[in-house]
Amino acid sequence: MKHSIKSHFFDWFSGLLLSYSQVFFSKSKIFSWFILIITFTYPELGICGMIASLSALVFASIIGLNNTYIRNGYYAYNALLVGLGIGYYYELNLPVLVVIVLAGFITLLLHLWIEQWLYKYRLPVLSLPFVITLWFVILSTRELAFFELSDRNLFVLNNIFALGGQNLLSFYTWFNDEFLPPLFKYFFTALGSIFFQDTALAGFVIFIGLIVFSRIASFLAILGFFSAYYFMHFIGIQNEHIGLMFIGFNFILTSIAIGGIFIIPNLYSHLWILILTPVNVLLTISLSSMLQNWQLSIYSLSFNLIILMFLTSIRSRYKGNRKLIETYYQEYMPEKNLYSYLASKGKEINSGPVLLLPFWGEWTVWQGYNGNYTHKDLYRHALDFVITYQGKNYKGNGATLDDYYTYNKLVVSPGSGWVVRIVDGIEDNPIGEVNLIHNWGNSIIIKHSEYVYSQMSHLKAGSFKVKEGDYVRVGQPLAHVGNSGRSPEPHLHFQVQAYPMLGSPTIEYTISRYLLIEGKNKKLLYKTVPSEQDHVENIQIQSNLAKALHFIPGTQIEVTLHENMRITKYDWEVFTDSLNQTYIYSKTTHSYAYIYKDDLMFYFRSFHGKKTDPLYLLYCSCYHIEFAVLPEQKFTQPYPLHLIFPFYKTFWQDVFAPFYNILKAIYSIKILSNSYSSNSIIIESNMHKKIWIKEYLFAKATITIVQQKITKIEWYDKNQKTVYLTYKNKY
Amino acid sequence: MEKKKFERPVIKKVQIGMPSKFGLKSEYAPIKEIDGVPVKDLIQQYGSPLYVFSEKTIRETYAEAYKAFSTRYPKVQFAWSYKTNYLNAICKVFHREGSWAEVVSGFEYEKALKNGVPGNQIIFNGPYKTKEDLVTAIKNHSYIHIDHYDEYYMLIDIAEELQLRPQVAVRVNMDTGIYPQWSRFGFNYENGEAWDIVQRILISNKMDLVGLHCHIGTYIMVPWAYSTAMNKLIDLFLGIEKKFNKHLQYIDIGGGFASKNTLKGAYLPGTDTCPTFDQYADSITSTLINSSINIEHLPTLILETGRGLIDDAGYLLGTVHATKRLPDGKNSYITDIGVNLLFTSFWYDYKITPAQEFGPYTEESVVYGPLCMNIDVLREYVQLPPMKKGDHFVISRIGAYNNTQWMQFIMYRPNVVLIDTDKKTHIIRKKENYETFAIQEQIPEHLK
Repeated sequence: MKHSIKSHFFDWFSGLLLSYSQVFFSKSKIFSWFILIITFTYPELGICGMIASLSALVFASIIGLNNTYIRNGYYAYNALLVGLGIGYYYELNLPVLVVIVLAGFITLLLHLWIEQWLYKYRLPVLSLPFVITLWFVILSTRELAFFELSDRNLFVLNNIFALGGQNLLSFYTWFNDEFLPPLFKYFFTALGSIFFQDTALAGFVIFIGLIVFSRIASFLAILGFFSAYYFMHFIGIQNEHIGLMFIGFNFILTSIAIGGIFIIPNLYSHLWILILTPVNVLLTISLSSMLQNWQLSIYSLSFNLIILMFLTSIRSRYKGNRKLIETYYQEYMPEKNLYSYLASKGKEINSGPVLLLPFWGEWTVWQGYNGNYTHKDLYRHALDFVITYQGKNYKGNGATLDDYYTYNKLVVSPGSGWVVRIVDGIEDNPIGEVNLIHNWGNSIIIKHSEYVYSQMSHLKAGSFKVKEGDYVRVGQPLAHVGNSGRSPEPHLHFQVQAYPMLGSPTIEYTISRYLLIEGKNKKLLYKTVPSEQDHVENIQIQSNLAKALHFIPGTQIEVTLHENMRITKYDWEVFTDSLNQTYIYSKTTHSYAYIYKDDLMFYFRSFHGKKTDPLYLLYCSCYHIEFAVLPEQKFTQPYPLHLIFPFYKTFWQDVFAPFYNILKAIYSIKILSNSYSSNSIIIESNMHKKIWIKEYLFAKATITIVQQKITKIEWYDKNQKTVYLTYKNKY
Repeated sequence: MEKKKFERPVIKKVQIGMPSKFGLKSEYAPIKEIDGVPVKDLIQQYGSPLYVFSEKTIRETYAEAYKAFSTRYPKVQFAWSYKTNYLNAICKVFHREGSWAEVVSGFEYEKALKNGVPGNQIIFNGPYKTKEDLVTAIKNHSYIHIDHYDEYYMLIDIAEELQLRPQVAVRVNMDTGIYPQWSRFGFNYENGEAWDIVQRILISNKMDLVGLHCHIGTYIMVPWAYSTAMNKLIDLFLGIEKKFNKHLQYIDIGGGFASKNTLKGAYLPGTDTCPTFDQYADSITSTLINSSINIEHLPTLILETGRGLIDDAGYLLGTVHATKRLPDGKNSYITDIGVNLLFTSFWYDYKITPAQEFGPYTEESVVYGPLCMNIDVLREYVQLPPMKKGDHFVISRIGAYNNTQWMQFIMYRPNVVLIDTDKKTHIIRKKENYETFAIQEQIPEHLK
């Protein structure tokens, strides 16, 4: 498909606008307008920034780079800063203009080069291209005669008078000298200096934009700056001019990036800022004096280095740290990252292979992790299972193997993988005796992935249904439980280990899903290790439900919304993006929703668009569906708050959100009926909002699945809406 | 101290030629209470005769059966066989435990719906389904097990008329090596009829074939017969996969598990000879698992066990109305329980246990019912301790078929009581009275 000139202009315009907020890792248009207007307090400066940014965008189009990245300003924010920098130092004339255009191009080239270079370490480009290009330009211009140093930064008051006359000037003097406490003056000046502004007023306006964009980021900006300020004070640095010297904003940007963008904002991300800032201060000072030799400023160099080093360091962690969580799915806003993370907790997309229980029906954990008998030391992460009935694991007097419910029961594969080892031929012990020569008895070891092996032991000789080298699928019968090895009574020993040897040390590994039986109730558990004496049951996937929620890319969906006697039509299509993530896109309204599906569940990762869109109704009503959920069993999940509550309701709690959530939005579903017949699954979903302790139902929906497709959503809130879906295959 | 019970003396012939070397144990204990509720109190409160069901036993038996299958096979579904006992309270206990409903008539279908069973959890079996029955079942997405070609044609007509797709399974009959071979229900496997109807259904494409069904007989004493039956169904299942690339959703192996009652003419008592749920389960599930069905397409295993799940939970309490010495010298009892209330005594030798203390001596007795009919005999020959008029006795394991096949012959049917798991008693069917029948009858004008 050829990109028309018109759409190029659209891309450039959008890219230009968003390049302003991109500096704060944001994609907010409102925030961009705040910054854009501020850069025009010196009109020449504003023009320079815009030209450099446009230059990068146009060159990006000419080179043929990805339109999405052009449109969201990703290729332009570095050039924007370079342009502003040149505009700040020099008087604008034609040769300078040409240099700005070229500088925009160089910034783009540097951006692409650094991007390729850092990409393999999954590190961001940040503003390195800006720093390097601006150095290039400054160093080169010392040889060029037509570059005249601008004096506008020396006469701030003159400029303000020129901009807004006496009124603005007196407002400025009042604001600067009387209204603002000196500390905040430094803070706002530092914030403004990101865009080469030298007044606290400019910084103040940007800060308002920052609050509109993100409360968490605003708080982080303050935290970063003041921790640096007080640290500098502590080590005795004269810090009145940290705003003006283009170094103060390093602490602000570092704080936002680590505290809320690359890391999920929480108490620990905030605490890390307090550790990182002093380091950043030292780095800033040393780099500044290093660059003094060339009479260059460090700009955002220390911010770049700190972020790159810190991200690399946390990615080298051996074990996942639950306290400091990397943002898996970047939504370019600390609040969104946080709320999405809180809602997706436990879904853990990027984790090891799925392991289920290695049997069918209800069993009991006889010995759990760190058990009293044999699950100790290297073997502490093991589970022993038996079948019990009315509290006993045998019938009659329990004298023979056949009296034991567990004996001869089938063992099935907990996950898919290769059979790497089978030990067979060891006779069953009589009840009460153990075989200490062949400790493990008849066993099977399955490789699920590198460093994830499962071992099942004390099986019955000659009962294996697979052989070494076979590929087995989850649930495939492997062998029968026996009483071989160190087993006085028939039981199944199950452990996960990192190596393929018989009796390798155990590792902690959760069961992806299982049912915990509590009296008459069965509770579906995620990624949990069963405890001793738990009654557990393997799950059963309802395959017709799984099929119904399979949105195949290329599928076109015709949607009709019936509301108040009015019928509206929409066109949807299922796509995958370059990261192989599937999303449903509404061609009519340009809303889209990212989805995730595996063998066990379906859920919506995100929704982008208006809350009146029928796609939003689909998002809310089918937000998270577990395929193993039993009919008539309720299943609940939290929603990401920002997608349920209106902006004005989350605004105030956003500040506290990293520490405590006042608002909650809860999704629950119940499968009302699921028949073998292809034509009926009915799901009821309820959506609750909770403010403090007050909980209320805000909407309710009934989803009808016919012929393995969602065909109807009946939505009830204040008014009733019905959405009908019909499917076509494009290919 | 309680007064010692007087028991009249008995004269007993020294017997030779006992059924086995050790003879049959004649010493047994009286049943004085059921689930902790005294028999005497039950009769006093609800009258005699009285049917008593133990909810605890039902739930325990169900749990045992479910466990036997669910620990051996991933997808197991029981469907409560309504004809075995369709008292609503009993059905509801099973539905609470997770059972679907298996019905064989429009009346039973209606009952299942009224008991709150969703249409898609009702299996409609049997040779006699009327057009109205089928229409209701199709509209409710119930599973219709086709019994004969005429039913299939009727389904096609209805499907076209209503523009609906019936959900069907094929009932198959077969030789499983046991006697008698039930060949009157469904389509025969050996002569190819079953494969023929399967093909017709799938080619005509007027309905959804979701499963296969067989029911090889009743009171099956040999578990391997199920294995044979399952193998034949699996053959059809795989044939359908191969030819039509269609994976059926379920295999319904029917019922027929023996309970621990003793059949008339059996050499040894049922308690010793009948297989356990585990033995049946092992036979059925291992056949499925060891077959060449792909693990991902394993069908749900449906079981329509009736007798095996309810027989043990039912008791019939009665009272001795008179004792009578027969001309041949045998002692006989006239009781208030006859074949009208215990229809199944035609084929079982029921165990009769006095409800009060008795001594170690027993005598050969005949137990008659209250009907004025020669065939009204509960036991023609039974060793019983001497009982006298007014004594109570308990007949155990009568839960199956008696509340569905009972007769209102010359008398009203008595109360049916359920003892819940908290030992509370509830009437689940009131005893009949004159009004029960008067309401149905009409007298023509000229006879008034």
